[in-house]
Amino acid sequence: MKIVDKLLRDKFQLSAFRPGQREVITSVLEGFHTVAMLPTGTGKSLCYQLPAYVLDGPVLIVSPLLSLMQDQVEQIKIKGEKRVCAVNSFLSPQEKAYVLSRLDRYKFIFLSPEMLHGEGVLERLKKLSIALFVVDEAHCISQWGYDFRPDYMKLGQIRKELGNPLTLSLTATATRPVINDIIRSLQLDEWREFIYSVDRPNIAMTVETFAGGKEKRERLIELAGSLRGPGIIYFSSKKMAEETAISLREKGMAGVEIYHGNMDPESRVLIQQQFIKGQLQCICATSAFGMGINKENVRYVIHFHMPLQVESYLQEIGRAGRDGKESIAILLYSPGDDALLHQLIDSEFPDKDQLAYLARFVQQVPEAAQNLRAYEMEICRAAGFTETQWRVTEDYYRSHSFRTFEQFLRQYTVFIEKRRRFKREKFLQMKAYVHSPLCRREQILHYFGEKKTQKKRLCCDICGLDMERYAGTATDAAVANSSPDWRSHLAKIILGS
Amino acid sequence: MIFWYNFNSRVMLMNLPFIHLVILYCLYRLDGDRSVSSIYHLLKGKKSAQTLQDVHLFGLTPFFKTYESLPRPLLMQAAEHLAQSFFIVESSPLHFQVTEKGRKQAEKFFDDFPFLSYLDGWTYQKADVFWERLTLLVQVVSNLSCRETQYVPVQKNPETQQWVKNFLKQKSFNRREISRGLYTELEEGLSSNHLVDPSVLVLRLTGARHIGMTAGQAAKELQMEETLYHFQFLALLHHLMKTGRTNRRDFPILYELAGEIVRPCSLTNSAKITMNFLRKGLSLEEVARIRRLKINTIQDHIVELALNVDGFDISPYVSEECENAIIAAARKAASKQLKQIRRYAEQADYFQIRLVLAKYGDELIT
Repeated sequence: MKIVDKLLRDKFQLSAFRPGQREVITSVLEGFHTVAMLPTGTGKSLCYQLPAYVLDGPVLIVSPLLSLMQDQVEQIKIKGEKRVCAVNSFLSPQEKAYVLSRLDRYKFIFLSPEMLHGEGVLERLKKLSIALFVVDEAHCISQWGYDFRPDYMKLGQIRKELGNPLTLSLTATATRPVINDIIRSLQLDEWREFIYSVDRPNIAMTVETFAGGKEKRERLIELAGSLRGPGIIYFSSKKMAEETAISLREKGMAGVEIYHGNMDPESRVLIQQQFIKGQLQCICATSAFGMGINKENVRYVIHFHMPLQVESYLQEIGRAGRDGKESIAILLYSPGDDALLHQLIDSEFPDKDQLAYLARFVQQVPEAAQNLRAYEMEICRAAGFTETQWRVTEDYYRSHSFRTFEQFLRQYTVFIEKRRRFKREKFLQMKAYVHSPLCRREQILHYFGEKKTQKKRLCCDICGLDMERYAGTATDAAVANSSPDWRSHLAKIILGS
Repeated sequence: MIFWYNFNSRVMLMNLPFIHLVILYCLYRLDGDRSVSSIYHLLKGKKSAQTLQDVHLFGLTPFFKTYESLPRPLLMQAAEHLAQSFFIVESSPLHFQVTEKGRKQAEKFFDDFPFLSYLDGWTYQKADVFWERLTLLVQVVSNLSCRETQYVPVQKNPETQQWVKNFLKQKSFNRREISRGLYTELEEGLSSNHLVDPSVLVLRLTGARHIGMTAGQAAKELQMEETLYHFQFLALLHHLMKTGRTNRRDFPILYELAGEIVRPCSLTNSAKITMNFLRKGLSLEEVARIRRLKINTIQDHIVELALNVDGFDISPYVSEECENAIIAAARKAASKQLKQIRRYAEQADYFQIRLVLAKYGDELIT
């Protein structure tokens, strides 16, 4: 038995690799820089977790999303690995100092990109002999990626300073230009590429269009009541998610819950875990739901609002059917949605007034120009920045150099305009998906520069689809019935009897 | 089988969320002396000298830090709603006076909702920490006894995780013992309460094979208005913490869970510094000068110390004669309003009146 198969079984308790995993892992273990695009739901993290146990030295993982990072750290810990740490802005200065002082004891070091700019972090990293340098969500490197992070642009430089370590770049959603950008930015001279089709053949795709919001809501209620669960319904607004969950309950549907980013941490974990363990049927969620949700048997994903780009759509529907069984992705659209979605795009960046407030603040507090981050609270209040607006502004500020604050504002204004235009284009492409008369799968594949190779039986509404296949009131999930007697419930929980 | 009275019908009858009744009760105790903001700080558990004094002066210790997630708009909404129902009237901007109707309602608040006798937010300020530890310990123990090793912890706070780890490490236990022990203590602790349905808490617990409910889900399951649920849940936590603290022999686990986190005396940092200077023999004025603070601020600290430090000597600031005059005046005025008291004790200043009130608290006015 090969070592990788043995590790897969013993360390990860898995019986077989998913498509692409073995190839990527082998390439890494043979010492090649590797660029991989694996479809969502195929377990990208295994591609660095497994080699970590063969290679000598720590694995450094640069990951852009804090919540994703926390989740990955947790997943590794759950498997019994204690030598894992995350260096990010969640850490207090003391915690950060502590972690950095013992960096050589970890097997997995997760790092958010802005930490690389901090004094000392890079110096510490240089002292290690890094076995593998992993760039997760590598599409963030590219200006052409929908989730571009300016911090990521410097990763090539940092790789060099770390002595050109063996590098693995991972993404689930990247078009060809984005992949080229990744390779160029990381300054790889030789590399192996593993680009797998984004296609998830067991997920059928349909789009339904409605004249107005009311018809759309009615159809959603009907769908949720008739589809075989468990399922996820995505909304762009927290309020709509809540209202829908309430109407579904009123219709007598059991096991419906709401999930959004503003919930307290305990409730978030509970709702996620209830869903994973089959105590819930249906989650009405914002895009905050899904990160790290490894549930095999999600049967449907409905979008009540479409995401702002095809990449996000693909990622979100990719949470269905990880067990390989028939599943369906349904997108509901009515022209009235556009206003809300445009507003979402616009609100991602600060507007002119907000920038003016920022400028005024810096005029009054000139020290702030040297260190924006120290004034986060004050600035957010003065300029009315949302969390995202602040992050984008601070990212840009930190990752570029300026002579004066005015110069920063000028350049940043140009940058915002460019990003906004780009996002609007992305949104138009998403809308094209809705309106096009072509096969849905073909469109998605085309978007990522692939061709449809074979005709599938259960493809999409354009190719013809029998929705009855996905119906079923019976549920795979055991919706928990409450125990009337608290003592026996307590005994069941603690004693397992 | 016991059917628990869940008080929901009482809330429904009045057509008020429970939190509105809490706010009415607080306004009633404050008796027009303070703005609604002070209730906000009280429920959030703000550690300002002002709030800490109010808590004691007006007998509001049960409610201290009992609604940390209270959004400010909800408070204003409650005040408006209470005014519309003629329980209160706005006497000056953001200050409310309780009407006769409101007074009647507030006076029977503890009789209407007997479970409030468990509520002691002041003593059990860290009920949230207790809950985090309890749920995580239950989950870990449950998974141990089911021999499950891979699960997602319900509490992410690293301090809580470390605490549970240490707790299990220091006990030389076997898993049967610990799960038995934990079950017995919870079963007995919950049974010793006669005022809150134990399901309020039990439904929220997570085990190896079952994920617990969120607060919202449990409230729905028990058909309880959400804020009523919140206060019953908290009352039950306080009851369990008290059970552990007062009977270590029978409840060793609850004792440790509630353990060092009970801090009846909590001073603001600044007051602590002032205390240290005073103990070195410095005068009020000297402390103010050294710390570059206003005399008023140091006076606030001294009042805070009088409230929180047992046996704190106020004689350097109030003569015995003056003290007696203030006590007599307070009885005569039958009010805690400083202005009223001063009318009967003209030789005293407000600082002295506050000090004496702080020292004697509720004993003065009944």
